[in-house]
Amino acid sequence: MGRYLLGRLAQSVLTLLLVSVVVFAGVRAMPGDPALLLAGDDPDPATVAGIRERLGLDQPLPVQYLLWLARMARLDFGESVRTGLPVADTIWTRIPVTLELAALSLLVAALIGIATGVVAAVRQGRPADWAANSAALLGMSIPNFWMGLMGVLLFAVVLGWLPASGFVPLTESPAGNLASMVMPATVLGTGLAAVIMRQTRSSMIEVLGADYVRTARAKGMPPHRVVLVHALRNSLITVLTILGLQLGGLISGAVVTEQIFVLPGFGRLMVESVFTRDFPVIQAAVMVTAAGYILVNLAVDLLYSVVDPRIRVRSAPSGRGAERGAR
Amino acid sequence: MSVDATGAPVAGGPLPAVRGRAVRRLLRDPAGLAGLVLVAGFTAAALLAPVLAPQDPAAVDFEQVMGRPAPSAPLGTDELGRDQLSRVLYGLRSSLTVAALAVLLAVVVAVPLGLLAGYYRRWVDPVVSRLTDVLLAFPFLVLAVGLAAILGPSLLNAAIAVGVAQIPTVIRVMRAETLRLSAESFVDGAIAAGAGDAAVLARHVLPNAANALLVQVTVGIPAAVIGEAMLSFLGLGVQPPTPSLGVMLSSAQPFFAQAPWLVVFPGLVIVAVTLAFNLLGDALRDALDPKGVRR
Amino acid sequence: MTTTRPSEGDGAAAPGPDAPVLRFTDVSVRFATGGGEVRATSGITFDVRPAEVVAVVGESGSGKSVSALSSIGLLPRTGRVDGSITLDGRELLDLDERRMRSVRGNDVAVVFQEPMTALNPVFTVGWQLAEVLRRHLGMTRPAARDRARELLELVGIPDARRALRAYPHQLSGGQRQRVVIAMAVACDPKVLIADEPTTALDVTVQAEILDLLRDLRDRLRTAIVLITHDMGVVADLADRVVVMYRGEIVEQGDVRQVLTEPRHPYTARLLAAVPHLGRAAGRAPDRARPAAGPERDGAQADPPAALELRDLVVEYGAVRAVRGVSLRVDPGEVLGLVGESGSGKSTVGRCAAALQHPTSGTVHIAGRDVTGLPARRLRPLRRDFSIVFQDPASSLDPRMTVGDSVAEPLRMHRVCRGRALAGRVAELLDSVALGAGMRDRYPHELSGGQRQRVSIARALALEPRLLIADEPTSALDVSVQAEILDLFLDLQRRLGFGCLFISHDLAVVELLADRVAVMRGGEIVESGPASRVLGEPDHPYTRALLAAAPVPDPDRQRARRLARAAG
Repeated sequence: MGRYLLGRLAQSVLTLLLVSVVVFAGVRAMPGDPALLLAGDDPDPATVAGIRERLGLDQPLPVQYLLWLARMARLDFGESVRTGLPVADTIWTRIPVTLELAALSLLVAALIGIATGVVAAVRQGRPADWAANSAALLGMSIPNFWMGLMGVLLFAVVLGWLPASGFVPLTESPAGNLASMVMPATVLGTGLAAVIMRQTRSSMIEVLGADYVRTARAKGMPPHRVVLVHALRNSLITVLTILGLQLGGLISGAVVTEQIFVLPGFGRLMVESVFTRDFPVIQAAVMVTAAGYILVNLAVDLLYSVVDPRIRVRSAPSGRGAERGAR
Repeated sequence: MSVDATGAPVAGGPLPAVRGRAVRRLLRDPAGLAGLVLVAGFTAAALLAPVLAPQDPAAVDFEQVMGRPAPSAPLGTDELGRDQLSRVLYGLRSSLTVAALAVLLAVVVAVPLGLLAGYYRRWVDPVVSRLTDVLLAFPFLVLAVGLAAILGPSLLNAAIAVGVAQIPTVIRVMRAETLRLSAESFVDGAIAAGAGDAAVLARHVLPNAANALLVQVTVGIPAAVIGEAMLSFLGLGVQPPTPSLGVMLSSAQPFFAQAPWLVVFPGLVIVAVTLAFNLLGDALRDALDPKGVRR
Repeated sequence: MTTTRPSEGDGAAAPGPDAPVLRFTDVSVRFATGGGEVRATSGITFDVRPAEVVAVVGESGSGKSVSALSSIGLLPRTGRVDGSITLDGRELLDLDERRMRSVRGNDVAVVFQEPMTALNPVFTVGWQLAEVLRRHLGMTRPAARDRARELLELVGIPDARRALRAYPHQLSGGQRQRVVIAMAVACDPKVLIADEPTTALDVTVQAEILDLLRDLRDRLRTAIVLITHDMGVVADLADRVVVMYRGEIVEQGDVRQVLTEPRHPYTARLLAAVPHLGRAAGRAPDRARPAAGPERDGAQADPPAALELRDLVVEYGAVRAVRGVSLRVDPGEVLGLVGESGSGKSTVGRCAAALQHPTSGTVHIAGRDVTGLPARRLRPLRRDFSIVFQDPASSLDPRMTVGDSVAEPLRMHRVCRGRALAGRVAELLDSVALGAGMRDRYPHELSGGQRQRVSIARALALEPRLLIADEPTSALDVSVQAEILDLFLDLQRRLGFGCLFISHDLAVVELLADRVAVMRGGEIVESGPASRVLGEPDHPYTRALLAAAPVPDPDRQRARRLARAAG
């Protein structure tokens, strides 16, 4: 267990370092002189020279990278070209909105996806399975931003039930916050729910055919116990993997969803900065997303080892090493 | 495995090879048939857009600004009076172009990497898995934001961003298939028969992995269509005036209360195209699955 | 060990002590498939008395599992059962699903074949045992835990307290099967259905599990329905035998009568196909061999050995799979390499076939050192040796026709092409008794035996001096195995190749091998002429292996068992 954890941690650190190299290379590939860009609208030569020296741009490239990395590690992302405020502060005010959106939609997606996936697997080949499959297929095929537009059209413009856009902080009004989040979270969660449903269904079908499920039935266990206790825990192992992989999609989806519902989130910040050419913000946003992604996947792996004892308690090496069983 | 559990005929090899049977199974599945017909239809429409379009998609007509659907313009006209149907056809063309380029990029890069990673576990595999980890750490929109910042937004950059985003998935599929196949004794048998690594990969592993790759490509295209639409919607992809389905949604967004059809129709086309490919992908997976179980 | 059973009504006439506990009357099972109904079994009639072991034997597809599992409704949804199955006079086929559940695991329990997958990987052994006790006997959590420990002790698991907290993957195959058995007998069932309970286990472990089942039968007076394909297991454990063929019972009766004087020709054929340990002993020496001198001096080896391994060591990380194996296969000689799973015998085979580099030691094939040669230099040498694998399902590329598979070695070594190639392929297929019509078939259109024939044809395509056969018949039914072994012997005699024949089955090795080497824990513990090693073994492990392998003769098996228990 300890060695496994350590190994995963080392892998994550390595990945993060490689990511930082890519981002650094990207930053250096950006058009124009970075010092000039950072100097903002008034390229006063003294300022430019100051920035150049501060950022170590007169140093050789590897040294520049290390200096840059040290700044990133201290979360010193510089100042926004547009607002002049420290980038870190801007990001910290924007991240909670995105996290709330992501968490809510993940919740919606997991609840709907796992429940329908289990039902579909148990009722395999029956109408309920067919309906769940069709819904999932449709859910996967509707781009979430278009669904958001249609949602706004229906619930805000035509029916007037929900606010079309805008964000109410949780601290201001929990109810208002929820109302402003219902549509975005649902829209963002739908596609993910479809993916989770399909994964749950297929791994449940596989597990329901496993020998140990037959054993449970042969022991006289009632169907709900066979499905919910014996089968579900095993199939959640694969569903978890999918969740980690879907995170990228969730982040991408959040960016567009924030755009449609005008939520002051992290994704919106990112898109705005592209158009205002606010490079320090872009660089920080990319770095923070990548780091967050790596962290969450590390967490998923840890969770994995909680669910699956075969990972928690490593025994003899398997696979190519072990002699293939003679019968 | 000589022991029967059910008495039902025991299925033979790991994967029956004959494609003909899979095609027949695909055509017998109504969803698969529908998917195939729709995919063929949309592809034809995109290819023949210049012939099929009733109007020049760029022809501005200020007499007809935001016209409702009418016989002269079945899908209405946009904020510059351009014919929506023609724009949808051309938009489909650029969306599918981006999708095809993206998937092509992913396949060209990822198939060799996946094969090598699955076959050379000791040296290539760790390198390739770090590479996929790095790629995965950049969600495709973030990647697109980065690319747009460096190179400026364009159709090609959208295709690159979407394609790169699919590389890890394709690597994963190919690596898993290669791992699975290398453990089969026919691979050892081929080596024992005197086949070199290249021959083993080309003659034994790749043909047996082709089914999985085919399914992956079929589900990669709709993902890419949606990806393109997202990027273009945000202004990070295809640039107006070139029509694409995402561009059309983006430019229609400010007017969507007054002219909802400008948002509804391009979106429906995206849904229909995506659905068609997903139907086909699902049916293909079922038809090629030797166990005949719907997954 | 008496439990009162509230479910047992007083209404039914109290059955006598020797009345059948489980009774099948004219049972037939059908499966609905896409192409209509398929009949799996029909007219199955037999019964099982308390403390009696009834073996249901047959080859794959004979319907032996289906018949037994139909009694407790464990068939796939598409299955339909007709006839009557009664348990203590109570009709089981009329029970609804809820009542059936209180029978399953309680009155009738099942032990399945695969101990590796029969237990849920994410729950502890103790949890899985307690679950049955709590469900059927309504025990409290602590009571169930205590009882679970007792059960583990009953089935002979050392340190039961620790085993309770273990996850299945932490136990060995034999221990897992003991856990499965403990779970099955937890509620003191009237009938235990054991579906190939030892097929996935090594012979020594199999012997222990069979002893355990016999012991439980005696102590708990449980009736056992033993489903198996192995006549040795039948001889060891069964009182009565039911022989099934193509879904029907062809013969049933007392074990002694069925195994020694079978009435039905199918039973006779089946028994004749079973290799009999000890029966082939006198035969091996009179086989004419091109160059199988009984004694040889290492110094004057004029024709180079077909295979020579010296001090072979293979390590996987910290695990030493093979620890210093040396062996030699002379031209035209068959060396049987025997061992249980994990003994390292297949690894030795892979090294001999140059599919794997040894950590140290050398491999000489036909006089040439192939140790550690790079793939490119090795390839031309591969003409001299080839390999046949165990699993017929995966040993041929599913995307290649039979003809292409057989032609592959000829193509790779540019031996012939065009018409000559086609002619050679036809000739090879003919030599393994497959018609030319097979050439365009794909592997999935072939039976397991046919696939192994193709594999043999392919392996012999280049007329190698050495053939490595890694358990080539252990996935096949006995009657098919007999055909393949005959074919193999015939080809070996005609072509005179040296052969390293790897097997876990002593009887098969006895049938084929001139010399035998016995492996255990990565080492060769004993080797020598087949008749000597299998007839008068020196090493205690060889003796244990021989003693553990059941022979299909109840009286001889009984004597062997008693001898084993005494020794």
